[in-house]
Amino acid sequence: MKKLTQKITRFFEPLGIRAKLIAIFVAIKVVPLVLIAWFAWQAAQGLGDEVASRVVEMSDAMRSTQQQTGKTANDDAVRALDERSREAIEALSTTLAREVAVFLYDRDKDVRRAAALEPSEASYRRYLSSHTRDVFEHGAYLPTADGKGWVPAAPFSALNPVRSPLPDNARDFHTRLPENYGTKTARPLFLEMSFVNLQGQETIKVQQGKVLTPGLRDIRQSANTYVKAETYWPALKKLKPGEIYVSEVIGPSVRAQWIGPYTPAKAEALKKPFTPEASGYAGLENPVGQRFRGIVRWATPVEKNGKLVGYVTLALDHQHLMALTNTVRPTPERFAPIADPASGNYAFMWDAKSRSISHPRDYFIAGYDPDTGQPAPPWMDTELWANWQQSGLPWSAYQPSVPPFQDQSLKRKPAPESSQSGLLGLDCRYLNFSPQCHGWDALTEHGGSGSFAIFFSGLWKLTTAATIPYYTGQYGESQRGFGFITVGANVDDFHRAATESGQRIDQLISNADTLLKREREGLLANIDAQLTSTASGLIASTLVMVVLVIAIAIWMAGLLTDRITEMSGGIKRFQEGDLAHRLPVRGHDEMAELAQSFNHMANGIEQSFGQLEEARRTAEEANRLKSEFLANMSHELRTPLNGILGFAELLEMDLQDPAQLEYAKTIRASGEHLLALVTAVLDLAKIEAGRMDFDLQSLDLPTLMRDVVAAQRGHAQQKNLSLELDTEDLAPVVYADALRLRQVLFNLISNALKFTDQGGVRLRAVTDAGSQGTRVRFEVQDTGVGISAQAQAFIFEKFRQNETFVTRNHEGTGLGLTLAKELVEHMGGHIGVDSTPGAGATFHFVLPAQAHIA
Amino acid sequence: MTLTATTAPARRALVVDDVMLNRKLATAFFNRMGWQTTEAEGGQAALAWLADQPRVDLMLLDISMPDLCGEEVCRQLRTNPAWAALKIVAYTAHAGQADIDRFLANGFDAVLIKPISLQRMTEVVSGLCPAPPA
Repeated sequence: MKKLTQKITRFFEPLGIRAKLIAIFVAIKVVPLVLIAWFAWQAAQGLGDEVASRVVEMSDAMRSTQQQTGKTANDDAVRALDERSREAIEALSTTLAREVAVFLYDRDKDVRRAAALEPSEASYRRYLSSHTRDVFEHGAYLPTADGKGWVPAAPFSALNPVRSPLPDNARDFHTRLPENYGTKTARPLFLEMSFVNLQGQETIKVQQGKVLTPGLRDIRQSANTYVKAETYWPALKKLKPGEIYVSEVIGPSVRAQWIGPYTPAKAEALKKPFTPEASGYAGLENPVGQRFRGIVRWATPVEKNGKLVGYVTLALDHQHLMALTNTVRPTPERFAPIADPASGNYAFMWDAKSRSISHPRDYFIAGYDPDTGQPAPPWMDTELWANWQQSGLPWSAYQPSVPPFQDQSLKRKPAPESSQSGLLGLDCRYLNFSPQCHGWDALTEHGGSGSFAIFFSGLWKLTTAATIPYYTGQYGESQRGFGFITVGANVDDFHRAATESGQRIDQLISNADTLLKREREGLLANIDAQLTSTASGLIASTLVMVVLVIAIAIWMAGLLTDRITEMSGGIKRFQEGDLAHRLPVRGHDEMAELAQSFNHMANGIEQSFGQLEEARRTAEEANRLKSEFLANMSHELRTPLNGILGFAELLEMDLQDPAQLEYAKTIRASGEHLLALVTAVLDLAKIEAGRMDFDLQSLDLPTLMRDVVAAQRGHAQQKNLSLELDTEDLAPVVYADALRLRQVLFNLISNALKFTDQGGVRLRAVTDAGSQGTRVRFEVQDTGVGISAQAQAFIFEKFRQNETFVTRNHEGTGLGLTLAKELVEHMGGHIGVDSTPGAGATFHFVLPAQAHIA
Repeated sequence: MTLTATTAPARRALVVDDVMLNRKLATAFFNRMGWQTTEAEGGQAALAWLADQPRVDLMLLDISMPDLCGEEVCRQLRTNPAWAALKIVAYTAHAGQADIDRFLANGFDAVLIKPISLQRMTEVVSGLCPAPPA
């Protein structure tokens, strides 16, 4: 935390106070502003999202409820209708079954009546011709123009529906037009009537039509029976008087060239010749096909005078049985002149062994092979077909080994070879790809009826089974009786109304849903728009506020810092010398106080500066006057000295008297002393006034030293003193003003000679490499009187020689050493003296050897 | 103005100084050197005397004079080609090096600082006006 604070502080340090102030303003104003805007936006967005999701949830729930309600209602309606339809169709099935049974029982009566007849061809002929039954037949059919179907050659005349004659009857006024059963034709019930004697030989035989073979035969041989398949002789022998024998349905099987609609278009598609007459009849799928021609034979003993004489048989034309079921439609249509197998709504009839004995497609009826008299191979699934083929046995031999209803399932498929063989008789026991067979078997096993739904041929079908309660002869052996009627109907057709109303409900729901969706989308769009507007409003207002705050920050910072800037500018001006400058004092705040304080201080400083300036001016003036005075004095003193010295010199030249000459010389010496004093005073004055110029340069030191020694040699000789220059280690160069260095050396040598009476003066100049760069040390050593330690302390001060060691003998200006010290120091060196009184003195000074490189 | 003609040797100097003793000393030294002199007691007098185009070899000229200072006299003479050959020597008590440099730069041929000695004067004069071959 502390570190962070330091970091922040360091970051702000380089900024001006104005920038800092603005930064602080922005930090404490803009950041909360942005945060508030952000929170507001978050809240608005959250609300929007919440509303949107609630709307979606609500509408979803509403839709779901609607759909659920619709579905439930529809499902219930469908269920109700389905149940109602089931009921109706089951009723139809049982009604049909009973009709068949009644029909069959009527034939029992027929055969009993026949037994009462006098067996004769004439009576039998009369009997046959008097037993006819009306059947309804459809007329001729022709392929449609497009070759995809069949149409009646003579179209049915359409009738206008009947309308209610009275408004009172108008509600649910429901009429049916006359039922179109087809063309009513009276057909003989029986194809044959015969009398078989006790030896099994037909003795009387009357036939209708040409289905059965004429001629009296020995029926003990099956080969002499219809399709070589009849085996009634053993049964006949067992009949007691009054008992009746009823055969199975016997007829040659009808082949189909292919299953389904037999039309020119289909033939073309299959690349097969269009010969519908050669293929099995199939109602509307092939109205001109080959019909199944079968018989059911009744027989009963004939007694004459209480004695069995033979048996009368009646061969029922199977078409009458088919007529009972073929044109029934389990739809509001109820009946039709022709069956429509493709519609899936039709009735079948099965015998007690579950073999098809009536079907809209004749080729599906289980028939017999007319060559062998054995049952033709039925339609089989792949597995049964393969097993049978593998056995290598004829079907009749193989059949007993095949278990009935073996693993029937919709998953099994018809064997293609079986389908292509054209032998498609349905034997439910072996029709293993058709599991409803087992279902029917179960429903009718105990003589009952019922139904179930099955998904077959791509449609949900309701299929019923109702036992045909006919128990004569062999049919009394099982509770299933003669067999059973099954009615197939498309389930969807039952509840079409419900489906349609369901579709209407769905449509309504869909419409409502569309409306709801539109409403919801509108609402969501509205929320979006509101959010967008809120966002832009927030952004705009935040931006305006931010700009405003920044502007205020800048303005306020300006307000504060302008005064500080103004103040610091004023202080700077003052510092730079504008002492008259004062800070403006505005208001009564701390800034004003500060300005006022500064102004007070400035006043004091200005006053002090004024006084100082005045003092400086005064001092400068005094100094100038002093310099001027000195210069004038020098000038004014030199002028009389000119006369004194000049004329003294002339006197010296002209005077002969030694005493007078001595006086003249004294005058000149005194004059020269005075001149030296004047010169020294003037030099000192110049130095002190800073007016002396030093021309510092590198000097050839040996030459300069020799010149100086040469100039003083005469002076030394006068006093009989030695004057030597120590040339050993003589420094080659020095950085100094030549004139002033000569003056210093001259002064020191003069002094040395002056205070030395015996011995001499020795001069040295050596290079001295010290810490302050290379320097030259000069030494002037004498063998004179020396200088006391006390005197050493002040001999470089002005006019101090007189008081101490200077006597009249040692004339001097008293300014020579002072001048030497000043000059040496002005050339960047220093001067000193070492001395023992009585043992001479050494004056020494150092100067730089070369220009100091700064 | 006092113009004093002395004997007429071969060379002549004009000594200009407002102080009589200085004129007398210079004249005495010149005479010792075998020169003739004419004295003038101010700058105006010197210029007036020179206006007559006398034969003069050297002018010994004081600087600080009440009527017309030596520097002004020298400046005026140096603007006149007639006096181009005239040697002008400053004769002054201004001993500062700056003064000396200024004089030499403004037309003076040499400077003699008061007090003068005969030796120094002989050096300067014979340097400017070598003795004619005998």
